[in-house]
Formats: sequence, C-alpha cells, structure tokens
Amino acid sequence: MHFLRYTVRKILYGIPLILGVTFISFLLMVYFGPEQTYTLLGKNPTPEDLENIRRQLGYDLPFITRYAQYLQEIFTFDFGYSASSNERVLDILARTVPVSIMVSIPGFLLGNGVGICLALCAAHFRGLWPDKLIMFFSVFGMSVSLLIVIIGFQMIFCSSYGLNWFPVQGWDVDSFFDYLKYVTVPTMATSFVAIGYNTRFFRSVLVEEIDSDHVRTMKAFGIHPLIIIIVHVLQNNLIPILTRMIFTIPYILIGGSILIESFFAIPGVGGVTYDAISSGDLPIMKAVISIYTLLYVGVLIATDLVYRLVDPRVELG
Amino acid sequence: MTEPAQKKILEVENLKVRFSSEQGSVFPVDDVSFSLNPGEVLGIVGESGCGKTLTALSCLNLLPFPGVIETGEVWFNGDDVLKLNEKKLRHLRGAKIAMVFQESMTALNPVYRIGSQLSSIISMNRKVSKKQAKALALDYLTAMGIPGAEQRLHDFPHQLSGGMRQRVLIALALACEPQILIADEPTTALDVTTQAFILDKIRGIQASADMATILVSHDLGVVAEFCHRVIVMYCGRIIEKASIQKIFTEPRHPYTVGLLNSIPQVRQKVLHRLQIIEGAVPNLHDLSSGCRFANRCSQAQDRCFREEPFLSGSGGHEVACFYPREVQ
Ligand SMILES: Nc1ncnc2c1ncn2[C@@H]1O[C@H](COP(=O)(O)OP(=O)(O)O)[C@@H](O)[C@H]1O
Ligand SMILES: [Mg+2]
Repeated sequence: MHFLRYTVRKILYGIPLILGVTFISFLLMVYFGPEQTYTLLGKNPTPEDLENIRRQLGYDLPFITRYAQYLQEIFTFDFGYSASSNERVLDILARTVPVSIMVSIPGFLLGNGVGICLALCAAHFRGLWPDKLIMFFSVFGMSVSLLIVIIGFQMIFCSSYGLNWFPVQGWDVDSFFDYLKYVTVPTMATSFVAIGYNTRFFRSVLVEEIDSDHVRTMKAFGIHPLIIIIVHVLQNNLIPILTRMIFTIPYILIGGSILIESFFAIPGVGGVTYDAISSGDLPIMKAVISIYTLLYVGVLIATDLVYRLVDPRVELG
Repeated sequence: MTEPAQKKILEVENLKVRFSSEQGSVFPVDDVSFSLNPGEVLGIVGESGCGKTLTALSCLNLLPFPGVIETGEVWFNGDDVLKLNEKKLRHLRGAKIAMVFQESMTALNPVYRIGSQLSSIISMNRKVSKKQAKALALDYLTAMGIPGAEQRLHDFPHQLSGGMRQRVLIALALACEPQILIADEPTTALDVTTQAFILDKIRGIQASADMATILVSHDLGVVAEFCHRVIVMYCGRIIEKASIQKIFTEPRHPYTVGLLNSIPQVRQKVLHRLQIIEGAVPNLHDLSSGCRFANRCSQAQDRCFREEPFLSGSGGHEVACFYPREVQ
C-alpha cells in the first residue's frame, strides 16, 4: 500500500518534468524548427497560396494553440502522418520500435551481465593478474570506436575475406534461427564496447565497497569470499549499478541504435530517426522526441522505485 | 635445568609489513616479535600511527590493500597463519582468533539488520543453526549490558549509538568463543564511564573463559587495569616489552617514561602538569639509520643518531635503547 502510494506520487512528479522537456523541445523543434511551406509549394507561389498552405499546416495559429496541439498529440500519442512518406507515424513506430528492441536486448543483457561478472572478478582479485587482464581488455574495448568495431566484425564474420558466417546486412526474421542470424554480429559489436565501459564502471563501484570496514569485518570472521562479494559487496551497490543499467536503456534504444541500424541496414527506429532529422520530417521527430522524453522520465521513476525496493532503509517519505 | 617454556598460544616472529606506492616502500611494522600465553592479556600501546592495528591485522593475515607481509611468521596451533591456504584461514578467522575493530561505526553492513548479520556470522563460526546462533547473540548482547537486546537485533546498525555498536561488536567476537580475542582500541571512541563499563565486561568474560587477549590501545591507563604484559610500540618497532608492574614501576625506555608521564593522574586528584613528548613522529618515508625516537629523546647521544638499538634484556623485560633508564 505504502509502495503503491509512493509509486503514484513518483509518477505525478514526472508530469511537470514531461511538460518541461516537451516545452523546450517544442520551442526548438516545432516553433523554430524546419518549415515545410516552401517544400510543399510549387514554383512562384502567390501570396494566397502561401497563406493557404500555412493555414493548412497550422503555422498561422498562435503559439499557445500550437503548443496545446502538440501536447494533445503527445497525450493521445497520435502524431499524424509522416511528411515524407505520408504513412501514419503510429504505424511507422509500431513497425520499427519492436525491431529496435529486439536488436538491443541481447546486447543490453550481455553488456551488463558480462560486465558485472568481469567487474566482480577484477574487484576480488584487485591488483593481481586477473584484474590487470580484465582491465586491459575493458580499456581496449572502450578505446576502440564502435564504428571500427562494426566494420571490423563485419569483415571478420560477414565477408568472404573472413569467416562469412552471418549475413552482412538486413532483417528478414521469420524464426528464432533467423533472429540469431541477424542479431549476432550487431550484438557482438555493441557488447564489445559496452562491456568495456560497464566493467570499468562496475569495478570502480565494487572496489570501493571491498575496501569498506564492513567487508573487512566479514573477512575477519571467516565468511566465504563468494558470500562476501555477492551478499555484502554487490548487494550494497545494487543502486548505482541498476541506476546505470536503467539509464542506458533510452540511449541504447534510440541513440545507440542509429549507427548499428544504419550499418546493418536494420529497419529500426534509429534509422527512422536519422531519416527524419535529415529530411526535417516533423511529425516523426515529434514522436521520437516524445518517446525519448517518456522513456527518460520513466527511467527516473523506475530508479526511484528500484532504490526503494533494494534498500530497505530508504524512507517512503 | 631451565624450566620448560610455557606453551605459547600465539607467536609472532620478525613481522615486517610493507606498503608500496609511487613514493616508494614503507614498513609501518618493522621486525616485530612477541608471544601470547594462554589466558594472558597482552597490551599493545603506542601513539596512533605506530603500527598497532597493522600488527593486529597481521595475526589474521588480513592486511588492507596494498599492504603485504614482507617477512615474518605468525604461529598459532602449530601453523604459520601467514602460510595458511584460503580455506584454513577462513576456519581460523572468527572461530579461533576473533577481532574487534576500532571503527565500530562502520564495522557492520549498513543494509542488513544487526540480528541477521550476527546470527549468520555466529552460526558459521560456532557451527550451529541460525536459531541457536540468534540465542547466543542474545546471551552475549545481554552480557555486554545492552538493554532491550531482543529489540536491538531488529535494528539496522545506524539506529544504534556508538557505544551500543561497540558492545554489539564485542558481543559478536565473544559469541564466537575464540581462543584469542584481539580488541583494537575497543573503547577509544567512548566516554570514560562507558569505557570502564565495557572493559569490565570484557575482562569478566575473558577471565571466566580463560581467553587469551590482545588489547590494543594508545592509552597506557586503559592497559594498566587490564593487561598482564605490555608491548610499547614506536614508529613500527617494539621499543619496550615487560610485565605491567615493570612498565609502571621501572619503565626503561625514555618513550615509555614519556607515555607514563602523560597519563593524567585523575585518581590522586593531583593535577600533575601534563607532560607531552616534544617533537613529531618521523615520517616512515625518510627514516634515518639511527634510533627512530632519537629526534624527540632528551637523553639521545651521538650513537643514537647513527645506530639503531635492538630489543635486549632479561627477566622478561626488554628494551630497545642504548641508554635506558637505570633501574633503582
Ligand atoms: N592502507 C594504507 N596504506 C598506506 N599506509 C598505511 C595504510 N594503513 C596504514 N598505513 C601506515 O601504517 C601506519 C600504521 O598504521 P596503524 O597500524 O593503523 O596504526 P595504529 O593502529 O597504531 O594507529 C600508519 O601511520 C600509516 O602510515
Ligand atoms: Mg589503529
């Protein structure tokens, strides 16, 4: 009951945040953003044509009305039709968002799962060779740019210069086997970089805990190292670790997937975003920005809730 | 014929601890040897930073990163603790040698209730069920004079005062019924009344269980009431070793004399001028070849700055000084 009330309150707190972010994005993107007037008009338009089209597009309406319209679009989640393909924005999203999710889930799980295991291992053997080896590879993973990793992996795994095990591009998924075929190389590429970053971050969090007095107490009373590292080190740091994991979700879903989706020709939301930005397709941009905002606010709320769930000492106040 | 030596319960030989960093290596514990008899209470005293805690931690082979034991042996039950494998070491820690840490405020995990931490530690070390362990915890908490012990088990560590937490930690160590208890400044953070109370409780249980104890303190006054023998440390070295009577009646090292002079003589209600040893402890990074105390010693001669004295003496009273105070 307490928890439910806490959740509801957190969600209510999220509303002003959504309003704030959408207002700024409205200003930047809709009000000062690209105009479609001249794209839609033929050559030598008359002033009447101009006025007509501006009225059709709603550009003549006052600021407040336009903002209200935008809010309405967000809350009904109906952004109209794409300016370039005339397809319904909602249909485009329904087609592309699931693909992006499918592409990023394995990389997300692998990047975090492997990252935590390596970090636990490195922290436990701090200063010794397993730590040094793991840190060497994680710094290596961090330093190589994703672009190079993608091209490299495509060369190695998808071309006749290398192993040629996987298709280099595309997304023609009808079965789980197809899925594996298309998702493996993109996943390896994102994980390669993500594991590097995650391991380093998780290790730094864990090492600090390993030095703490309460861990020393557990050691001094002969508690098994596995129990110490899981129950006393990992558990005590679930908050920063989960926070980081949750916070990477919006980035992975939209930002990170742009590069992956364009290099592997995967029809996800990243590619759609890229096209919308380069062609000034406002309805799609509005939709993507709104999703992004909602995701981030959702992430903030989720972190607060996780915080509460993980650490019993956090007051419900 | 010499008397057969009493069997020691713990023997530390030539212990040397090294910390390496970019500025080079330091040895905060340097060539320390001592032994502990069964049932005996041994005091380790010295200014803060002289290496008491590191010496104590070495007995459990539990140095903080990146400290390593450069040389030395720690003999317990026929084994060198420093050479035990991971598993044997786990069986030793807590069950055979239990330590109470100086930092009582942070020594328990903040996210678990005290009861669950105590019972899991005790059940592991005493090889009893969680339930029995909880009962043991209760017994010892009560014995340490914690009011409402049952209720305290449901608290988180931050809900207890410093004095209560220190008692919880002592109760935890005692509940493991170790052969050796190491108490590192168990009362330093507490007010005088609580301090006396807690020391009294420890002594009661120590004596009835005949448990060998190492009491670490920077306060000779605390040690005086409690210990059979005392080791005085200075800058990583033992500079004097003697029975408690000898230390108080016939201190030989100028540093020990200084320490004794600095105890406020509260009992006699005579306000002696608080004597402070002049000067500062040398930096471990640039020790000279001479006696480490020489720069602060009023008796120091040329030789003291050139050569380092080693522990010597007879009758269980050893001192590391070229010109020790003569015994009257
Ligand atoms: N983690 C560490 N890294 C480097 N030096 C340390 C560390 N811990 C302790 N030391 C050094 O060891 C010395 C002795 O420490 P310690 O045994 O804690 O002293 P005491 O318990 O007598 O106050 C300190 O003065 C410090 O210089
Ligand atoms: Mg200390």
